Amino acid sequence: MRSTGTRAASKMPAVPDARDSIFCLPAGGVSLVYAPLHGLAAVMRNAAAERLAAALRENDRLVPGPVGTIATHLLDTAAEMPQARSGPLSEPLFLGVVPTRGCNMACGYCDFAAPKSGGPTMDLHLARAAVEGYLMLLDRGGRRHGAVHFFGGEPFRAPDVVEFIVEFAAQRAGDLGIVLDFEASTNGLFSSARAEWVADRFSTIVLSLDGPARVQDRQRPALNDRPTFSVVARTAKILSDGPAELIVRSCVTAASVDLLPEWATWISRELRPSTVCFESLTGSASTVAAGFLPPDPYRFAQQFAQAALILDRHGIATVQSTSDLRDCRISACPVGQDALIVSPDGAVDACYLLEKEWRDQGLDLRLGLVNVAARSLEIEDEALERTRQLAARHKPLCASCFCQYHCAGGCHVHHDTNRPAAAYDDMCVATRLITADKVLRRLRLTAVADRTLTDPVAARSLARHADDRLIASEVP
Amino acid sequence: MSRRGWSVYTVGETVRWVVDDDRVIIVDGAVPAAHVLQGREALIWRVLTSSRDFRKLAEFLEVAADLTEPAAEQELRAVLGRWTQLGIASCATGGPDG
Repeated sequence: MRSTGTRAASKMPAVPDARDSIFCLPAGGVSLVYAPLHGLAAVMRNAAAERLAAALRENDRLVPGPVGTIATHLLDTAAEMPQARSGPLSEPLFLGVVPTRGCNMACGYCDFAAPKSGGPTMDLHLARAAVEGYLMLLDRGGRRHGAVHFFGGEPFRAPDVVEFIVEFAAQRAGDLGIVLDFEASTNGLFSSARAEWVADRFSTIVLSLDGPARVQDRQRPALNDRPTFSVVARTAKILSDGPAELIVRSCVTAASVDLLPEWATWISRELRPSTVCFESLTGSASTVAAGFLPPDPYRFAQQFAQAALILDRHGIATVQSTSDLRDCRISACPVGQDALIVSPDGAVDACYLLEKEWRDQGLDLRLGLVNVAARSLEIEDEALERTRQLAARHKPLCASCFCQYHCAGGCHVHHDTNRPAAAYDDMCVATRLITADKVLRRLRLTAVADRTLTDPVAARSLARHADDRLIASEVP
Repeated sequence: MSRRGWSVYTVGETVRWVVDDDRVIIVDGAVPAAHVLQGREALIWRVLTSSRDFRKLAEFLEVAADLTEPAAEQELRAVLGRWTQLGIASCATGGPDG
């Protein structure tokens, strides 16, 4: 039996029925007990897991041995559930800025329904008002630290807007005694001079680079159909050598999944990122029509784990957005966390996706608008509360899943969680396998982790396990 | 920094600077002398040393400081003239910006 007892979170109220947050799932012939809200993970024989379940049902602290120790910990430690934000807007997660929806790439799997060129670019007066409004919110709330994150399209397709905001915001924030971090999600297809400026001015860059040249150039060609690997790799090296934190994000397809270890080796040899993020392609009719298929989730999890081992030897973290164990949460994205994301038309939304995408799903993620004349952000309290509750809503699909406090149901717009419990799709399968693998490796149970991923029966048994709750308070 | 019909300004080879949160600290190793720029001047320096484009800088100044276009250009010329006198920038080619 091996266990760990790190606290998962703090300052969170107790979960209504703590028993529902204690999970047990099959892991290659043994049982993985995972209680993220109690900060506990343990592997034990199946019979020991049954004794643990009985002890918890009976509130029995007198069971001898390690099972009793774990039972006592689970019974005596208050489970603390992540909660939706509440109250007035005083601590926005960040100011998001979409300088343009345009892009200089023509990624084969991109189904972003915005024109690549010719779309609106954010006006500088609007940009100034957004920055001033955000800084005013921080200042009024007594916050001395903030962040501005650029999204797209490709944000550096509108370099003047980015440059203006960075320089103006840094100056205004400095005047107010506020320290701002600048972050951007970018495709990296720009000049070396631009890359050097970005490396100098930004704190964090999330750079999309899908793989070796044969992968990147097929999946992410330029708008003029030219290959992009050499330019984006050059950008990556410049960023890697600079002070900014570099996060490499790779979209993994059926064609590229088997190259993940090779790709991890290249990254660890050529770059010094803090983190590599592997995300499985989300399939749609248009991606299939373009010849891009999502990877098999079992294969993705196996290759993810192999790549993670390679990167870990170089001190590089490997993440997938839905299996981040660093904390317990109700949202895996900015939605519900009071992020204020400004579009070129002046709308302020909770999500960086196009309005059409969330409207099509029956969602309203509009928070308000930028008042250019008043240089303020006009955020509607009701809208803010609506998005907070969207993140905190009951998600039937996730009700009995051990990943629910990390994955949080995934994308609020595109991942349907209003389905029966345990009706897992490919995203769920990959998330479950990778999350379990991470927990097992934290426990240093490498052999169990390897067996769970590579034995098809064991992997399927874990991935498709219907109800992960060790003792359920009721049917989910 | 250049524009058609305008001078090109360069930062002296002996000039080094640090961008702080709310100021730019400039050291001219040749003199030696140190200068601290704050507010608009710091903003101008930061943009000048990254893009060197007069039109962009004038537009930034216009928006950031609520100036008209002529006023922004006038302020820009004044700042560049002062920096030239201080020796931290120099005019590489002649032009009508005087």
